[in-house]
Amino acid sequence: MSSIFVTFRSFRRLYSAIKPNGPVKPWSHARALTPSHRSINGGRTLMAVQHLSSGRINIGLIREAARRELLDCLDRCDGVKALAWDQGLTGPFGLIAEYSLLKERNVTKMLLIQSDPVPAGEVQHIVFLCRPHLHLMDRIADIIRMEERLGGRKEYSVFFVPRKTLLCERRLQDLGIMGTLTNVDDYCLDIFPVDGDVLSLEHPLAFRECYLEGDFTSMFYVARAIMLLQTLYGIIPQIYGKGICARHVADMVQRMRRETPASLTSQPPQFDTLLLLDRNIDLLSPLITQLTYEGLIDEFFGIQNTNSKFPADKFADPNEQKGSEQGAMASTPTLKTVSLNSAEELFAELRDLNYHAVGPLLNRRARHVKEAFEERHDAKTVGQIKQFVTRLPHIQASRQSLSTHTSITALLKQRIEDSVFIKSLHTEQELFQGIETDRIHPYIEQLIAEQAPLVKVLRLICIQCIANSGFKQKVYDFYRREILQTYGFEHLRTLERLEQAGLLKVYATKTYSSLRKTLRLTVDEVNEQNPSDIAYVHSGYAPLTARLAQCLSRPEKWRGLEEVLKLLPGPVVDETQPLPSGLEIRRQSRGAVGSYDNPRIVLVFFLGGCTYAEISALRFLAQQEEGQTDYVIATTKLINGSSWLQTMIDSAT
Amino acid sequence: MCRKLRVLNAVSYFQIGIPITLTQLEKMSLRVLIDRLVLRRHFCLAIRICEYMQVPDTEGASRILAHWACYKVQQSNVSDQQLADQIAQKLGDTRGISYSEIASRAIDSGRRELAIRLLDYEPRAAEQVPLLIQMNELTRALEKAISSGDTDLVYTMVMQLKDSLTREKFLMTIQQLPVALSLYMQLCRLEDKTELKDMYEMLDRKGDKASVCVEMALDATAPQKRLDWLEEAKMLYTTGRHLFEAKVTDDQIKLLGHQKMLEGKLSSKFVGLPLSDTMYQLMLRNSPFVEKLRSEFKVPDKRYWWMKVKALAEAHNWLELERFAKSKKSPIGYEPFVNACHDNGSRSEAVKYIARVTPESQVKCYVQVGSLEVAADRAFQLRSEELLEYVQSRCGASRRSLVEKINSMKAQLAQMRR
Repeated sequence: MSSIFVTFRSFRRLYSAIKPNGPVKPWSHARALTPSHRSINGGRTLMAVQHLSSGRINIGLIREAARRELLDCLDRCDGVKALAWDQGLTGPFGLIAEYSLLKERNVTKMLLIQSDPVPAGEVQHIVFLCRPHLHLMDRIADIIRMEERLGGRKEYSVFFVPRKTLLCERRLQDLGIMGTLTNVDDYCLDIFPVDGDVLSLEHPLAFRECYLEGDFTSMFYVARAIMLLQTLYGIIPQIYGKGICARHVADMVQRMRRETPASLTSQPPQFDTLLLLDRNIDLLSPLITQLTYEGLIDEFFGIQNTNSKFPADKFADPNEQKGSEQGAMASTPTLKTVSLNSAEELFAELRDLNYHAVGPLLNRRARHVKEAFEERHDAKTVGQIKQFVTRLPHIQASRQSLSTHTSITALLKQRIEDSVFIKSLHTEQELFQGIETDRIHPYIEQLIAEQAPLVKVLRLICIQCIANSGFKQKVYDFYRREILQTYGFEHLRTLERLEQAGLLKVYATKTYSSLRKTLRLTVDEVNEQNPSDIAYVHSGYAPLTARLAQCLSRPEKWRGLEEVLKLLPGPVVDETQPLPSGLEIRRQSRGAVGSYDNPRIVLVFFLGGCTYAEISALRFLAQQEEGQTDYVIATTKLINGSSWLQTMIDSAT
Repeated sequence: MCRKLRVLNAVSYFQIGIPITLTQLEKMSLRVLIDRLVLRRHFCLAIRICEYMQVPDTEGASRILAHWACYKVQQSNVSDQQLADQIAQKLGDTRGISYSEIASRAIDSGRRELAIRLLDYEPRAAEQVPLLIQMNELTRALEKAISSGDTDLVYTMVMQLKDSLTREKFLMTIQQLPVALSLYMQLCRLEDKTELKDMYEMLDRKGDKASVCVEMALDATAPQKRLDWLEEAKMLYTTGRHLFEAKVTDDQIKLLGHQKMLEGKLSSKFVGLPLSDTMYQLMLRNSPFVEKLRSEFKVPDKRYWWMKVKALAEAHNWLELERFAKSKKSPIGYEPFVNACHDNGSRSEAVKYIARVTPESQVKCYVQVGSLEVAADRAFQLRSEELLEYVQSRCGASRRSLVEKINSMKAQLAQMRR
C-alpha cells in the first residue's frame, strides 16, 4: 500500500524541477521537429517555442518543467530505448518535446501501443508512455508477452500520464507482468502548453465522463493542473465559477492547498482571478459555427495540437518552380501540415478576426511586404544595402507566411461559398435568434432526407432545441424517428446520451429567451471588419461563457446578475483564497490591479472544452480599452461542435 | 553567538540538566540538542529554542509537536476523545504535520478509536485511506476517499470493499454513496455489462437497464441473441414508461424480421441497414415491398419522395421517374428531380423538370445543366440583379459574349429601376 503515498510527491518533484537553483540538466534547444511535425515555417523552428514565453504569464515554464520531467523518466531507463506511445498522447507531446531530444536520450524507435507490432532487434528497453486506461494495460501485457516469447532479453518500464493509478497497477498485477517491469511510475504532465495564452489538458472525453457517466476523474486532474499553475505562478486570490464541475474543482483546489506544505506556494501571485466555467452552463456556443479565421480552419480542416492539414496542391511555393514531377504526383492528394500558433506574426494577427476581415488584412500585409521588398532599389550606399540585407530574412519569412495564409483563405472561401454551407449558416442564425424554433424546420428535414452527415444534422437540431428551451413532444418525436430511420437504430443510444447531457429535451421553461435578452447573446448589427462586441465571432451570436467573463471584469463583478445566474445549472462559486501574509503586502505595493499599466490577469478554465471562437472572444475583450483585463485560457480540450458531439455519438469510450 | 550562549544557559538550568559548552554544541549541532530535549520530554523548551533560533517550522516546531503528540498517544490514562482534542488543539492545522503518522503510532499502541479520531484531522486523503484500510475501517476509508475527489482512491476502495464484503453488504454500502456508485457503474460499463445491468435492476432504473440491453443487442453478433436483447429492452422500456423508446425498439425488431425475409428473397445484404437504406435498395429494384414498409413505419411523405427520386434516377429508370413526378404534386418541389437526373448523367431528363421548378430556382437549375444563356434570360425576366450576378459568376473566360450580354441586361434593369 506504500504506493498510495505518491499523490503529493509529484508536486514536490515538480517544484524541485522548476526551482531556479534546482538540479539543472543540460538539454538541447529545439533543433529539428519530427518528420510528422514538420512545420511549414522551415528554418524558423528555433523560434518555435519563444511565443510561449512572450505573454504576461510565462507559459514556457510549463513546457520546461514537462521536458525536464520527461528526461528524468528516460534517464531512469537504461540502454537503447524504444518508446511505446499511447496514441492519444503522441499529438500533444509534440508541444513538449521533439524527436531529436528523444534521440539524444538513446531513443531509437517509436511505436504505438494500440497498433504497431513489436520492434525486433537492438532495442534494450521498451518504455511505455500512456494514460492510465485499463485497456492499455492489456495491450502492454500482450506486447511484453509476445516479446518474451520471441526470447528477447529486454527491460520494460511504464510511465503514466499524468499519474499512475492503483486501478492500473492492480490490473498489471493481475496480468502477472508487474514483476517484469523495471519502472512503474508517473510522469506528472498535468497540462499541455498550447500557445502563449492557451493551455489544455488534452482530455477529450471530460464532458462525456462528467455528465453522462458520473465519472469526475477529469475534474480531479483539472484541480491538479490548477495546483501546478499555483506552484508556478502563485496562489490565485479570487476564485469565481459557475456549474457543478466548477464547484467541485474549487473545493478540490482548496482542499489540495491545505494538504500541500506552505513552502510550495510561496510565489507572489501573478494571476488575480480564476474563473471556472462549466461547459454545462453553455451548451449552445460550441454548436454554433465559428466564423473566426482560426475557428473556421478548425471547423473545416480540424486543428490538432496547433497543427492543421490542408490539400498540398493548393499551396504555391513562391521559392520553388513547379517541376514536372510535381504534376505527376498531383493525382494522389497529399496533405500539407501547417503549424498554427502565435509564433507566426501574421497568424497571430489573423486568428481572431472574423472571416470577412481576413481578406482586407491580407491585402494590406501584401502591400507592406511588397513595399519592404521594393526598398532595395532605394538602397544606394553600402550601409543602406547592408541594412536591407539584415532585414531580408524577416521579409522573406513574412512573404512565406503571407503566401501560406492566402492559400488557406482561398480554401476557406471555397467551403464558405458552398450553397449548402450558406444555407446551414443561415438556418443556424435564424434559430439562435429564436425564429421558427418551435416547429419542424424544413431545412433540417431536408438534410436528413439527403442523408447529410449525422453530426451536422444533430448540431442543427441541438441548436434548435436549446434556442427553443426544449422541443414540443411532437416535434421531438418526429426528429428522433427521422434520425433512427435514416441513420440506423443504433443511434437510439446517441439520442439518449444527448438527452442526458441536456442537449435535447422536452420543453419545460423558457430560459433561452430571457438569457438572450439579459446577456445580449444575439446582436443584430455586427461590424465584422471593426467589431465592437464579442458577437462578431459568430457574426451575431456572443458566446455566453465569454459574456460571463466580460461581466466579471466590471467593478461590480457578477453582482446584479443573480437572476441570470439562477437560470443556468449548478451553483455559483465565489471564494477568496488567503495569501501567505508576506505576499499580501507585496501584492498591494504592486499598484492598483486593473489599471492601464497593470491589467488584472484572469485564468479562465473551461471545464469540458472550449472553442477557438470563445478564445478569440476573450482575446477581443482583453484588447478593449475599458477592459484592462488579460486572459489566459485553460481547457480540458479544444473542441468544436462536431468534435464535441462526436464524443457523445461514439458508443465506446 | 550571543543567542547560542543564551540557549546554553537555558539548557544547563538544573531542571533540564544539560551542561554543555559552546564548542560541544557547535560540534553536535543544534538539531541534536533539540533531539535530546525531545527525548527528555522538554517539548516546550525545545520549541522555544527553535523559535528563538529561527529554525524553520518543518524542522523545528512541527517536528517537535509531532513527537509530543506521539508521546501523548502512548499515555493510556487519558480518554481517547480528550486526547484527540488536546492534540488537535495544540497542533491545529500547522502545516507539515502528519496526523497520519501520529495515528499510526496510536494504532501501534493499540488505540484504534484514538487513531480514527486523529485521522479525521489529517487533511491528506491519500494518507488517511491506507491507515483506515489497515484498521479495517473500509466504509470510513471509502468516505474519506470520496471527499478527497481523488477518483483513483475511490475506485481502489470500491474494489477493496467488493472483495472483502458480501455482495449484499457491498451493494448496500455503495448505494448510499452516489459518487462511489457511479464510479463503480463506470467500471462495469467498461468491463462487465451484465453487472451494469444488474446494478440498474437493483436501482430500479428501467430505462437505463433497457439502454444497456440495446447496447448488448448492438454488440451481439448472433441474430437470435440480438433479437432476445431487443425484446428485453422493449419490455423494460414499456414497463418504465419510455413509450417512444419502446415503440422504436419494437419497430427495429420488426424491421430486422423484414430484412431477414428480404435477404432470403433477394440474395443481397439487408440485415442491419437503417430503414431508409433498406427502402432505397428496394426502390432501386423497383420492389413493391417498399410501400408496405412505408406504411408500416409511417415514413413521412417528404422523405419518401426524396428517396424515391434519387433511387429512380440512380437506376436510370427515367420512365418510372416521369410517371412518379406526374402522380401527384410533389411535396418537395421539382428541383430534386433536376438535381437527381443531372447527378446521374442525364441532362435531357433534367431539363424536362425545370419548367415545373419555382421561377426563382429555375435560374440555378439552368446553370446547373449548363444552359447559361437560358439562365440569364430567366434571371432577366425575373428582374433580379442578384441572379444575373450569379449567372455571370459562373461564366468562364470562354463565354465573353454572354458576360457582355449580362452586363447589358444589368444596365437595362438599372434603367428600368429609374
